[in-house]
Amino acid sequence: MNATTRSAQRAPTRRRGALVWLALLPFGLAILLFLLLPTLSLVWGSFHLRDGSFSPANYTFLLSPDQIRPFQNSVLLSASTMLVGGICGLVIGQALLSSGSLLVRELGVTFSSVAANFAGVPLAFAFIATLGVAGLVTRFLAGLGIDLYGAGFTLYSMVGLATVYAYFQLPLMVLLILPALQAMRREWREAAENLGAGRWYYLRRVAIPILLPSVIASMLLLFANAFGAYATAYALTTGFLAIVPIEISNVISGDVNFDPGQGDVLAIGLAFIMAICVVGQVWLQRRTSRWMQR
Amino acid sequence: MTGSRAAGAFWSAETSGTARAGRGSGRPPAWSLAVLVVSIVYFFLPLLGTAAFAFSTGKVFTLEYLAQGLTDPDALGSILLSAGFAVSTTVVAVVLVAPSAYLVELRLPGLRPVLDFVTILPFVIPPIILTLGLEEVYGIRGIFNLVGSPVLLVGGYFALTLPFVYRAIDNALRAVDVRTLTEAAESLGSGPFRTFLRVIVPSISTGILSAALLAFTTIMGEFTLASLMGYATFPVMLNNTYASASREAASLVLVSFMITWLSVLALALVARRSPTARQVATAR
Amino acid sequence: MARLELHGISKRFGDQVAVAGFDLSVEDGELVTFLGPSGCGKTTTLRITAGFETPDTGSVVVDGSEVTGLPPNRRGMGMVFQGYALFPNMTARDNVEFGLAVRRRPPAERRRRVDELLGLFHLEHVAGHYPHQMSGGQQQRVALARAIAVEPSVLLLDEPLSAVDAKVREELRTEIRRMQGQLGITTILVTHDQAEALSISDRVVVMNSGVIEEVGTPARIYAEPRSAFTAGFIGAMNELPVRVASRREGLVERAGRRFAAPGATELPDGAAALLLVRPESLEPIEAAAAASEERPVLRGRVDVQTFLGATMRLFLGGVVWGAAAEGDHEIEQLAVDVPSSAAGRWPVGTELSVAIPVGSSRVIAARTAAEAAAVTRRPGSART
Repeated sequence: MNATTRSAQRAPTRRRGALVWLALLPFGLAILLFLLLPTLSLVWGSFHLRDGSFSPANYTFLLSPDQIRPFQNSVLLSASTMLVGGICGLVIGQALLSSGSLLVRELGVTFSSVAANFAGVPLAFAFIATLGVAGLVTRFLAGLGIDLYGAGFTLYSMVGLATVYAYFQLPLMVLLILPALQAMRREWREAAENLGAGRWYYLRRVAIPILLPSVIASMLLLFANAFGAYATAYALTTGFLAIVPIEISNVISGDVNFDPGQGDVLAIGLAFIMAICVVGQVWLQRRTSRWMQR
Repeated sequence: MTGSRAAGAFWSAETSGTARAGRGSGRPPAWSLAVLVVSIVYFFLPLLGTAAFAFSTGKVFTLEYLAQGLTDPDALGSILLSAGFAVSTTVVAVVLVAPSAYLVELRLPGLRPVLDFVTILPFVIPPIILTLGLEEVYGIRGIFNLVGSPVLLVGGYFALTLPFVYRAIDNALRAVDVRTLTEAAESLGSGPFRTFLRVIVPSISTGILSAALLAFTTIMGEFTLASLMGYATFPVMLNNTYASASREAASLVLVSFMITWLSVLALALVARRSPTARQVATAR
Repeated sequence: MARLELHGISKRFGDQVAVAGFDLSVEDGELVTFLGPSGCGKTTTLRITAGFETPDTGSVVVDGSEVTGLPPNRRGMGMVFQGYALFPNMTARDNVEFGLAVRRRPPAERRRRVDELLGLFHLEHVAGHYPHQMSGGQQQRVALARAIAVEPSVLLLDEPLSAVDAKVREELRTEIRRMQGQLGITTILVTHDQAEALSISDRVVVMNSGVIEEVGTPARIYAEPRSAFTAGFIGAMNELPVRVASRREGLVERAGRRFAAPGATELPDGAAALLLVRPESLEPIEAAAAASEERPVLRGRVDVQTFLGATMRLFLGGVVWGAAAEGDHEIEQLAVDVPSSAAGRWPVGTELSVAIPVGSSRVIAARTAAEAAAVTRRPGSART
C-alpha cells in the first residue's frame, strides 16, 4: 500500500474524529458552565481576600470559634444519624431477606425508596404534625401521662433534627446495604458449618469481615447525605440552627457578617468532608466488588 | 433533599449482587417479623400525624383544608412552575447526556474516567454549595449576569441530576453492547444519525425512561436552589404557606407524598421491563 | 476413614418428592458417584448426608453410629461445594486453615498441615492469593484442600468440576482420583456428567426422579445397563425395537428373523422390547457376505460421518433389518463406530451392512412414554 492511498483512507477517519468531539461540545459546555466553573469559582474565591489579593488567610476563619461550632454540630448530626440509620437499616435489610418472601422484599424496597425520597420541606412538616408541640404522637403520649416537651425534648433542636433525618437515613441504608446482604452466599455459611464452625465463629470470621467494607461504605454515604442536607433543616428550624449548610445559605442570602471569601471557605470545608466520604466509599466498594467476582 | 435520591441511584450500580434464593423451607424467623412490623409503624407514623392534622379540627373529619389547599391559585401555580422546570431540565439532560454517553462509549472510551469523575462531583458539591458557586459566577456580582433568568436554574438542575441521568443511561448502553449494534447497523448502510435514533435509542429506552423519571422527581421536590434563587416552586410555596395556613399546607404535604409514591411506582414499573433499569430503580 | 450407610432416606419439598427410599452403603475408602439428570435428587441426598437438610424418614450412619440428628458442624465430614464457596475475604492458605483453626489446633501443627496440603495440590505459589486472584482450577484445588485438611470421615463432592472448563476438568478428575486413592478416604461425588462418573468411580449410583435406578461398577453399568433409563443416560447407545419371541429359549424376533439376545429370558413372550447395542460393538461386513451371515444384520446408507479421534462415528439412515431389500424402513438412525483409518471405505452416500455380534447386545423392556420423555428432555443427551 503506498502513501497516497493510506492518507486518503485516513482523512475521513480524522474528519469523523473531529465530528465526534464537535458532537460532545454541548454536553461538555453545559458541564463546564454549570458544574466546573461554579466549583472553580469557590476554590479561587477561598484563596482571595476582599481586595482581590491571593492569600490562604481565609482558611483561618474555619478555625475561629464561631465556625468550629457549626462544623461540630454538623459532624454530630451526621455521625449520630449515620449510626442510628446505619445499624437499624442493616437490621431491617437482613429482616427483609430473612422473611424469605420475595413480596415482602419488594415491598420493603418500595417503601424504602419512598421514605428515602420523602425528605425536605414536606418531611419537616410531617414531623411537626407528629412530634411537634401539638403533634399526634406528642398528644398521644401526653394522654398516657408522658410529657415529651416537659422532659426536655423539642423537635426544633439538634436531637429533634436528628430524629427527622433518621426518617430518610434509615431507608437509604436499607437500599444501599441490601445488595451486599443479598450477595452473601448460603454456601459460605454451609462451608463454615461443614468445617466445624458454630454460628458465632462463622459471623466473626466470615460474615462480618465480608460485610464490613460494604457497611462502612454505605455509612459514609449516610454521613455525607446528612452533612450536605439543607432543605429539611431549614424548613424545620427556619435557619437558626448552626450547621454548615445553613451558614452557607446565610452567605448566599447576603448576611453582612460574612466575607464572600469566608463563605467560599465554608463551602470548601463542606466539600472536603463530602469528598472524604465519597472517595472512601468508592475505594471500599471497589475492594468488595473485586472480592465478589468469581 | 436530593442527596439520598441521587446517592441511591448512583451507588447501586457497583453493588448489584446475585440473589440466591435458598431452598430451605420454613416460616420467617420471629425476630424478622417483629422488626418489619415496627418499621412499618415507624414508616407510617409521620403520615398519620400529617393526615390527622390536615383532615380534622379536633374531632371532626373534614376535606375542607385539602380542597382549599388544592384550589389555592398560588399552590396550583407553584406545582405548574415546578413541573415546568422538571420537564425542561429532564429534556435538556436526556438530550445532552444520551448522545454523548453513546459517543464516549463507542468512539472515546478513554474519556470514561473523566466522565466518571465529573459525574461524581455533584455528590461532593451538594445543592447548597452549587447554589453558592452559581451565584458567584452568574449572580449580581458575577462574571456573567444571569440573574432572574430561568436558564440559570435549569443549568443548576442539570448539574444536580447529572450523576444518575448519566448512570442510568450508561448502564443501559453497556447492557446492550452498543459497538456490535452500531457495527451491525453500519454494515447494513445506516448513517450515524439513523443508527442513533432508530437503533440505539429504542434499545436503551428503559434506561432513558428511568433517567427521565429520576430527574423529574428530583426536581419536583427540589428546595435549595429554587428558594435561594427566588423561585416559588412547589416546595418553596409549601414552606411559605406553613406559617399562615398550616392545615392547608399539611394537606399539600400529603399531595407531595403521593407524588413521591407515584414516581417510585412508575420507576418500579419501568424497571420491571428491563433488568438494567431495575438496578437503578430498586436502589433509589 | 469410615463406612457410610444411608437407610431409607426420603425427603419432600412441599409436594415435590426429592428423594424416596434411598438405601446405600459405601465401603471404607470407596469412591461412589451419584449420577443423574438435574432434579433427580442426587444433590439433596448429598446435603442430607452432610446435615444441611433433615430427611423426612431414614437415617445416616457413619461407622455404625447414627449421625442423622447431628448438626453439620459436628459430623466431621468434608464437603466441596458446586462453585467452590471459598471465603472471599481469606487467602488460599487461610481458607485451607479454616477448619484447623476452628478446632484450635496448635499453630505449628496447622502450618505444617496446610503446607502439606498446598503441596499435595500444587498450590504453593498461590498460597497468599485471594480467591478472586485465582483461576477456576486453582480455586477448586483450594476447596478440595480445605475439605481434606480436617481429615474428614467422609468427603462429599457436589458437582466439583462443573464450573471449570473442559481441559482443566479432565486434569482435576484424574487428580481427585489420585488423591482419593492415596488418602483412602471414603468419598461421594455428585455429577450429571456420565463421562466423569464412569472415569473415576468405584461404583456408580444412577438416579432418576428421586429413586435409585441401579448401582454398579462403571464397567458393568456401561456394558450391561439394567434399565432403559441407564441405557439412555450412559454412553452412546443404539436402541432397536424388537419383540420377545421365546422367553424360554431367550430369543427375540424382528423382520422375520429370530435370534438369541441376553436378557430376553427375563421378559414375557410377545413383549415389546428394546435391543441395546453400542456403536462400537457393531461390526461392518461385506454386502456379499451378509446373506450368509449367521448373526442378525442391519443395513443402511451413510448420512453423516463425525470424527471422534481414534474412531469415526457413522450415522446410517434408511436402516433395515436383514440382507435382503424387502425389509421396511424401521429404524431412523443407527450409529456405527469404525476405526478412523478405515472410515475412507464408507464415504457419505455409500451403503453399509453391519452385524450384531453375539453377546454384545442386551434386551430390556421397551420404556414407557413417560420414561422416554424424561431421557430426551435431558440436554446434551448422548443417546442415538
